[in-house]
Amino acid sequence: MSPDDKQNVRFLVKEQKCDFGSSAGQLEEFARRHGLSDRLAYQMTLVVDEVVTNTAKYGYGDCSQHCINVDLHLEGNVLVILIKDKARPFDLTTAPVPELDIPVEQRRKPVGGMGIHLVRNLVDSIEYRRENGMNVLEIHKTIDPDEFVDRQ
Amino acid sequence: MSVSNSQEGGVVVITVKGRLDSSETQGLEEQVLAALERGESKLLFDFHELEYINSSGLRILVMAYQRLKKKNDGTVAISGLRDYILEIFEISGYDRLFDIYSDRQAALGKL
Repeated sequence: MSPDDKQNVRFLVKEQKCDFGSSAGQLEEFARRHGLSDRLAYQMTLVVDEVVTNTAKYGYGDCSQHCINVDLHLEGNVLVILIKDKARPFDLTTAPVPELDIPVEQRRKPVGGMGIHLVRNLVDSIEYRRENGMNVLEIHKTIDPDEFVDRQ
Repeated sequence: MSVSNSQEGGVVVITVKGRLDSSETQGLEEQVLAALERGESKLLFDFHELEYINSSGLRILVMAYQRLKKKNDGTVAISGLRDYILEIFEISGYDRLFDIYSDRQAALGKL
């Protein structure tokens, strides 16, 4: 794998907010470069968006500026997403699921946990570890050959 | 993102173009709240130019549904979803909450 096959995208957090849109273009660039379909590009962006936004909103409890690092690469037909941050420990894999079996009108939190639910359902595996004071999330998603449309 | 609205028969049509994410929900929320204040009971989100939505965007739609139902006993419909965005509605279960139509005309014919 050449160094060009890897992409690093940094998201900046301030006051528990992340301007995700300003860096989303780099994810789209990765998708274009590897010929991923619009569907895959959307799913990949959404997964990163939900994790990064969640970390910004709940992980950092101050107004300082923080950085969330996202590394992307392909191992054959497997998309690997590595997300690292120095926020308070949070294991997304054990977070509660939304009350999907209850009508929305009757849920205590109608949309609570939906971002994490989407992430879990869009990928094949998620591993969490705390490493050197950092949250490390490693996400794998197998890409069907039909989802490669036009590699550059 | 850009948001516009129009009145078509007795239906308020809110058209969203571009990305609907955490930093872009305010404009949409304002238009929904304005429609509620006017006592509107039928709301259609035309999403044929919507390229992206995340859980924050979905939250606004659910908020619109809940408030319209409670305040005006109304209906919220969605039209023109791209296939890959429709999948997200299916995964979240919101495809059962909203009336979803292939395009605006189909929706207006039913509302």
